[in-house]
Amino acid sequence: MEIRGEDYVITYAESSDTVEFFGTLRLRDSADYKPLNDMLETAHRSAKEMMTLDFRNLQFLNSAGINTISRFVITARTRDTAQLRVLGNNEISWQQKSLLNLQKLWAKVAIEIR
Amino acid sequence: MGESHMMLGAYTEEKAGTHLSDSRLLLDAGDMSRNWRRCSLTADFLARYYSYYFPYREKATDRISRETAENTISYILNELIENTAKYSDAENKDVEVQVSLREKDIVFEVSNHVTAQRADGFIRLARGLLEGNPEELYVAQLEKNTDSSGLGYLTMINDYGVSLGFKADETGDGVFRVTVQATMKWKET
Repeated sequence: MEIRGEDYVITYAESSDTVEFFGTLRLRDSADYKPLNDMLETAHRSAKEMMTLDFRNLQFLNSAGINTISRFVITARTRDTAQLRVLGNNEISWQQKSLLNLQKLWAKVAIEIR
Repeated sequence: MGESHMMLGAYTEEKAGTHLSDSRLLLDAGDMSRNWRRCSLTADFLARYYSYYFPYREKATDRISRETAENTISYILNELIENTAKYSDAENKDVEVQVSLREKDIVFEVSNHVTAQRADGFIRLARGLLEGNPEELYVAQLEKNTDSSGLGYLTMINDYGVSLGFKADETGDGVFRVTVQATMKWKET
């Protein structure tokens, strides 16, 4: 499954329970982010133990996107089935600055920034 | 809204000190709202433009690197510009984006026009941000499960070390020109 826009691609690999982001993701609001939210929830429901969010190739994410990801983390926390693993890239400012905030929402989120 | 002119937070009318560079762009909120990617395009343009003032990572000992400058300027400006595209509900769609590079910091100032009702909301939001604890507000905002207003400002404060100032001026006929000033240090003191 994939979501493709003019500046980004988001892929969901069911075999590895991984959602991977590429490009620049700066959509207007939660309505525009709904397809992403749906994809994340689908992936989390089907994941048994661990779901991975791979941001290493996402250059930019705006605050509306941070909002979408953060609210998904809260949903996953409430459900408390599969755990979340987040992969980040230390060379990309927003990841280095903002990704760790996800742990403030759910301490169990495993974050690896390299 | 009682006041016709109001300033909140770290807003400064006079940007004192030596300016290494000043730029100003005039844009149309309608254009940006019609094609949303224009927000990002504008932010990226100014970010790249100003990144040339900064050295590559290897030489950036007492200041942010070119890569960091471009990334952070783009993030901050994109948030400010997106807000003007989203919230300019007055007939006047003029948006002004100013960037001033000073000896130790860089000031972004973005203004647009809104109705009195929206100006009220703007002032309320600004007060909330300035009076609360930004770290706590960030989490509280997300737990609320709404289209969190102010999340962009909170990421700037918490994650980018930005200080924010807000201004609202009545321009007549119940229209307000609202301005957000975001100041980011680029040099280690």
